[in-house]
Amino acid sequence: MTFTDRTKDPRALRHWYGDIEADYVYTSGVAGERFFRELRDHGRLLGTRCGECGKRWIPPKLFCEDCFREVSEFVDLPATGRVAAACAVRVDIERNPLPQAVVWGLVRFKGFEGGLVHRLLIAPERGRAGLVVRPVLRDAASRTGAITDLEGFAP
Amino acid sequence: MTIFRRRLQETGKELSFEAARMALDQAGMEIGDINAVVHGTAPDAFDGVHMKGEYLLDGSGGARKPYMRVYTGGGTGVFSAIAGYWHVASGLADVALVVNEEKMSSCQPHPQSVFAHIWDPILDRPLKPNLVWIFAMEMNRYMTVNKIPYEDIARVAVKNKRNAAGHPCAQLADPDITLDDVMNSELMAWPVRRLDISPPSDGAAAVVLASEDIVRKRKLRDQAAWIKGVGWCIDSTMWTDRDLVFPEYVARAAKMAYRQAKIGNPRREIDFAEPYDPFDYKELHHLEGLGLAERGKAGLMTREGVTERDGDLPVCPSGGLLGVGNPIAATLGIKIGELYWQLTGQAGKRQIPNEVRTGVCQAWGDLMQYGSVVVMGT
Amino acid sequence: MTARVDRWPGVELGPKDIEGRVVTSVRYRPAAKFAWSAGEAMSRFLAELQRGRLIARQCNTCRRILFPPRMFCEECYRPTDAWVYVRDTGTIETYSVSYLDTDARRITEPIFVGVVSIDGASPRMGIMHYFGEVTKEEIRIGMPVQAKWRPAEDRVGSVLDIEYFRPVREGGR
Ligand SMILES: [Zn+2]
Ligand SMILES: [Zn+2]
Repeated sequence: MTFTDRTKDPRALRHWYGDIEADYVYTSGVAGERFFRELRDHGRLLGTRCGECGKRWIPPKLFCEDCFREVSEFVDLPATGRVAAACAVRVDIERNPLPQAVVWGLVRFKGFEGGLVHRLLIAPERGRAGLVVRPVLRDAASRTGAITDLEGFAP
Repeated sequence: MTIFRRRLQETGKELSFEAARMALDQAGMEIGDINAVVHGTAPDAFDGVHMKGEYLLDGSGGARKPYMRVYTGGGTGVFSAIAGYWHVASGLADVALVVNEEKMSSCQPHPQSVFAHIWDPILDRPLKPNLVWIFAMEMNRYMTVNKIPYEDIARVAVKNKRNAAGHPCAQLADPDITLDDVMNSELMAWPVRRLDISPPSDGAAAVVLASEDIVRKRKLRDQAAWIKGVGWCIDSTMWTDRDLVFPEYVARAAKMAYRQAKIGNPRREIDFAEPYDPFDYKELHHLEGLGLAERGKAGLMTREGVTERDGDLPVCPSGGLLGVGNPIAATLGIKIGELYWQLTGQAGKRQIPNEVRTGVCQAWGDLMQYGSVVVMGT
Repeated sequence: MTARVDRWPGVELGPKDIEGRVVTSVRYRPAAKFAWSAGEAMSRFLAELQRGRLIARQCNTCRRILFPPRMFCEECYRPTDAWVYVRDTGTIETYSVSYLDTDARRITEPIFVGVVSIDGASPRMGIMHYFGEVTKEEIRIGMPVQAKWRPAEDRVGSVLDIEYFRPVREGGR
């Protein structure tokens, strides 16, 4: 059984236009606050270390997701990381072509679980797994305590 | 259960972790003892993270486990425990962890803004509704048809905010609040005044559900309360076609839970209740739906003191959403949590003086159409 | 529970922590745009509104006149059977006098809003709308009201083609 009346003229079928408006402020949280302050004020990247299993986490977490224990020890990241995956983006979020391809990658750090997704400051053809990279910071005056305080990663 | 506050620094994941860790500590368990995790949380738009269930799962202890997020609007506060119960009652899990979280403070300038998007985009949204409107409309119809004086409704807010004075997590406890304070608070949308409403909050709560076998083997009987019956029901989405005087969906959910719990006369067999009270009139409305008050008579019961902590039927001894706060799904800690603490004699300053053996809790949500009910006993 | 809450009280933040950037934060405003299909029932409903009429659907099984119209009856769970015009008069089922706007901001001129059940539809079947030409003292549940339509040339096929519902006064209707 289906609808007993159906519109035969498709032009009579209407649409209603609208948007879903919303506005957010996300605070960094307890572990995040420490991470972003260090990044902003001292240009340092920190992870956390679980006292139970010894696993190190980046980005830092207040808890170890394996042991489900609270974590309070912060540790420095190594000076360099390694690209685990990369892609070259050639269109913007609305699918308009970009004047220049932007390379994005997942950067992992030796001895740490997780990683950071960020821009790779390289030509698209160089974007490949295994590349050793170091963080590039914005100058201190323009840092705000957000992930964008990193320009990205460069070889 | 974490503290409830207008804005907490902890992220949603961090709040989930704190609540879940507390529940595990109390049960003497570790995450490895948990077979399945159920996460309850309200619309994604509050936290401002799409697919919130996936986002919060590491904080909820769900990583690499059978995990699901459930969502039934405000009804999630009790419904997630029902979903947790299925896991254990079906035998699929021996122990399930239920974690509910809400971080409403991310949303600016007020969580009300995103409530605009729960309405029908063609019929309702062009009128730019505020969520308080529908509750004001429901309250008006309930009090006008039943001829309930506003004082009797405001008394609920006084009782609950006073009850919350003994709650370590409370956001809005006030041992000295008076009826005049409530009745003279600012008018928001007549007949609703500021103190008739529970505030938006950040917070989380968690509960461990275990099979009888596990409770016996781990010698947890002394600190366990039992789920005796569960029920849930939703009414039509066409809310402008419904009579708003009586919450039929709560009555049906309660009937389902009472049948399972073998409760024939709820008013006689239930010792205390934690109905959902985001607005003071809702406590009355829900008491009637739960069959604990005659239709239109819950206000009178309140005036006569029956629902006070030392009354014949204590209602919201926790302090409810009105007193403790309203981080939507995290009200699990006020509803299921309070039943647990009262039934096991761990409610401290909030402990009901009379012995309690059976309690009922209920949550309510979506477009004032959803009821979830759990009966618990010793 | 209480033991850990005492040890871990949580960190409460106030507006100054955010506005004064005492804590780090990021701001985000999504731009989600939609074109919702009005579908069979609502397309016709909107077209009729533009013509200054209200329309409902009838279910021949339960005999109800469903308003707002829909192509299926949720009680009988079968397709509805016919289009039926209903009147632009009705009864106030409930209402509120709101001092809050959409974003919960305080306003001084209150909005009168409520549910109107529509004459000609089954009992209690209605829509949410505004009320006008009425005072706080006069408005009541059970009050007969009538749609105040916008001029034909201003209508676009929207519930706002009705400006508001107003009381039916003597000599009206
Ligand atoms: Zn660990
Ligand atoms: Zn029918």
